[in-house]
Amino acid sequence: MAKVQPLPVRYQIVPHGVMGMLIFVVTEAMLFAGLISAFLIVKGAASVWPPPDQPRLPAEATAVNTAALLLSGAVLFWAGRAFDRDREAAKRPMAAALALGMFFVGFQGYEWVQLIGQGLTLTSSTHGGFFYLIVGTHGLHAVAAIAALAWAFRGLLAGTLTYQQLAPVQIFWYFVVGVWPVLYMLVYL
Amino acid sequence: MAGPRRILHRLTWLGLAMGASPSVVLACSVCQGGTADNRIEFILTTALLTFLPLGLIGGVIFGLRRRYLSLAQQETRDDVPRIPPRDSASATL
Repeated sequence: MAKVQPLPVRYQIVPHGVMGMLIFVVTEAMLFAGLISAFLIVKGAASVWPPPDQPRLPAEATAVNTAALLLSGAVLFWAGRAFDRDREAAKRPMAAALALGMFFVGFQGYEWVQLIGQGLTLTSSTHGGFFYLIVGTHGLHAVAAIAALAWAFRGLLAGTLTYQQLAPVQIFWYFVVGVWPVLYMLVYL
Repeated sequence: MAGPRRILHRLTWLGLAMGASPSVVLACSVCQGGTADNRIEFILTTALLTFLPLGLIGGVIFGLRRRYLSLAQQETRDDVPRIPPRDSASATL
């Protein structure tokens, strides 16, 4: 009698949402790497950077904003840990992470208004062009991540949020938080 | 002359022609006219764009493998059923 072979066992190592988000984050990391690459080559070709006739970027004020974004990442990590133990305990840190993220984007918008008023526009120079392209691309990602975080928070309040839903949102937010210090150091300093 | 041999023959001649005039086939767009800083940035960013995807994909594969080994070890230790339900806790991070 022929021996019956057991079917191969398939494990779900990570939720599908996490896997999809990891692939998405890898592609987005390459988008930012391409922008950084173009920026560094143009910056390296210039004799003086930033151009003398262009307004200076508010590095000190943005450092505070950077700290707010980093804090939001840490608070969201804390919210994820709290979610594992007691979902009720995750509400406050997640609300704080969301508020800090919204503060970051709001502050960026205020900064843009100031800079446009001072004459730094998309077409005023390559400095302006790269600034709005790189920081704007990050801002778009931040807005999308805030929307995802708000969706997760709504689910948490309604008691319907699962870990499989929260984990991809966390990964996306960590990406937005993680890429910003690199952009800040390259563009602002 | 047979097809593959003819292609190889042509490629050999093309390679020799390219080797005879390297400036024409130089891939570096800033190596001829750019500044020293520009050249360094070009090389650094080329390295970044080459190794970053390899590192990211390698990191994801390494993380998944570590997660798989951790789950397998846990399964052996706890003596839980071999086929976990689709929505089991072991499917979470």
